[in-house]
Amino acid sequence: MILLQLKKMEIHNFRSYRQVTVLFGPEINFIVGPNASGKSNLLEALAYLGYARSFRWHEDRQLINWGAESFLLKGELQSNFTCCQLKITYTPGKKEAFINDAHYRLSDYLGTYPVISFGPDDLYLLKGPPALRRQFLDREISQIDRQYCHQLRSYRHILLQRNRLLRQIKDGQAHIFELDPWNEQLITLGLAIVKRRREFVDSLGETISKLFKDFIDKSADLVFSYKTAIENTGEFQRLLEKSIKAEINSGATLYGPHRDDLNCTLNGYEIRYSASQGQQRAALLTFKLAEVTYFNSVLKERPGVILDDVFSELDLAKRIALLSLLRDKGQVFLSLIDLKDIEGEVPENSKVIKVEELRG
Amino acid sequence: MQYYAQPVARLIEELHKLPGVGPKTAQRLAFHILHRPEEEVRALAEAILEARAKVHYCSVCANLTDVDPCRFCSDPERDQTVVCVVEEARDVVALEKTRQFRGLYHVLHGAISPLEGIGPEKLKIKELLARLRSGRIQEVILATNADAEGEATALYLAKILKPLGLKVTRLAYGLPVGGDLEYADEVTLARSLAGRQEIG
Repeated sequence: MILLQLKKMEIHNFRSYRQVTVLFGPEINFIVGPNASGKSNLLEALAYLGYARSFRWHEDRQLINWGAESFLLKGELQSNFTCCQLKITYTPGKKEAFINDAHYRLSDYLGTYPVISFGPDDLYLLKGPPALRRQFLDREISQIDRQYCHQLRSYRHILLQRNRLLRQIKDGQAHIFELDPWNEQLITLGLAIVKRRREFVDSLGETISKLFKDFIDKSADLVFSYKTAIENTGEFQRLLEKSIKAEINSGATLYGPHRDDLNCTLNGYEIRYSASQGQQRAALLTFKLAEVTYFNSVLKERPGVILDDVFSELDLAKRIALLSLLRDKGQVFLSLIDLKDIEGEVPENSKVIKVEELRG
Repeated sequence: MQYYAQPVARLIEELHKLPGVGPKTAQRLAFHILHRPEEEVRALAEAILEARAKVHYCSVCANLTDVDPCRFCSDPERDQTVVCVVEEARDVVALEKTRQFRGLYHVLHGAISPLEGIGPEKLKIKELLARLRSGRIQEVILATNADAEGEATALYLAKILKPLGLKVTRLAYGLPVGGDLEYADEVTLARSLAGRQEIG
């Protein structure tokens, strides 16, 4: 197993930070400070080094420090015995990623520093529109599968071409049989994406179910499943044929992975309607913890685990249980208001980082 | 503030319109041209005008040519039963350099792309069909690019050529020869793996 360790991060003009350098420990890092002191912003910067986007669903533009024109993040990443420099710069309209000062396309950069994050805004994942959940799945899978990232890009491009053609057919500028070559590519790539997403969600299933029972509720049954209208080539083809009139009228492709969803049920009921906010948070946290195990087995690397405000709505016993669960999970970054929240039970080899002292 | 004399500005502007030429390169080229002897510059200008005036599409294969039909189409040494369909005239050059292909060509002048308003009717497809119906051609090799548009064009052609009862083939996807496996990008490598062939 390769231990990935972010040893150092430099922040320039990101959110509330003008300029700061932070050193991290190899295991659990407690990011401590009162409300609005910059804990989440620090974690957001960390996650940005991994995803090259905000884990709180912020627009890139919103991340620039007030009054500045761009931001820059640097990280020193150690994996076993080698060390590499990560760098991301953003100026409105231009985002660039570098590894050891060499320029990388974002799709090639992704996965260099795999991270798994959990934060309060993730509740939107359950409550919000399906597009958010698809975006989330795509982000996670792209970190472990570069080919998926490329397939996704080609799929989106083909979708654009096909939708434009649908509008041209509606306006009488093109013939319906011109759709065929696009359908064929849509089906091949679309099914590959559906298959990969389902594989990802399914392989988390067992771990999710067990973790939730062990950690949250012995008698509860938590299930995530990937929901799609298309299962195989024949079915996809039939759906496209059946909906051709509607597609031409609306100028949009009505079936495919861009219409799918991630479902979550607790004891058979859809979680977004039936469960409390605390249960929903617990379900999401379980999904993310299961991902940590999955990333370990696929990448043979321990991803960075970023947990923002994870302790609210967990009682003390569960907080302690979570900490012991995280103990052998590699490098963890965890924010909390006060160490009193865990009654001073700081595990060995942890590092406490006081946000207020960073500002100097 | 005017940085250049008016004729210089105009020259830079025209050069800037060329593909792959940014404002800085355009400026460099312009000043280079202005420093050359007049006869050399005249030769360049005349070469451009002459090429533009004398070169047109071949009435058979739509390749760029100064004689009609072009040298490929009128060469009796070439295999008249195979035609290779490409997107651009420059693709013909690339294929010729392999010295492996001794058949005929057909240049589409583009690929299907609804986003750019290019449908099949804008390509030299009618010409290709006419050629196939009247000629001795037995095999059509589809050598369009491996991107979404090239692929769509190949699929479209494959479909309309099918009723003609010809052999229709597509270039293989694979590893660049002479390159190390480890330097091939994941997508190319995955495609090569999917299209692997039995050996020996």
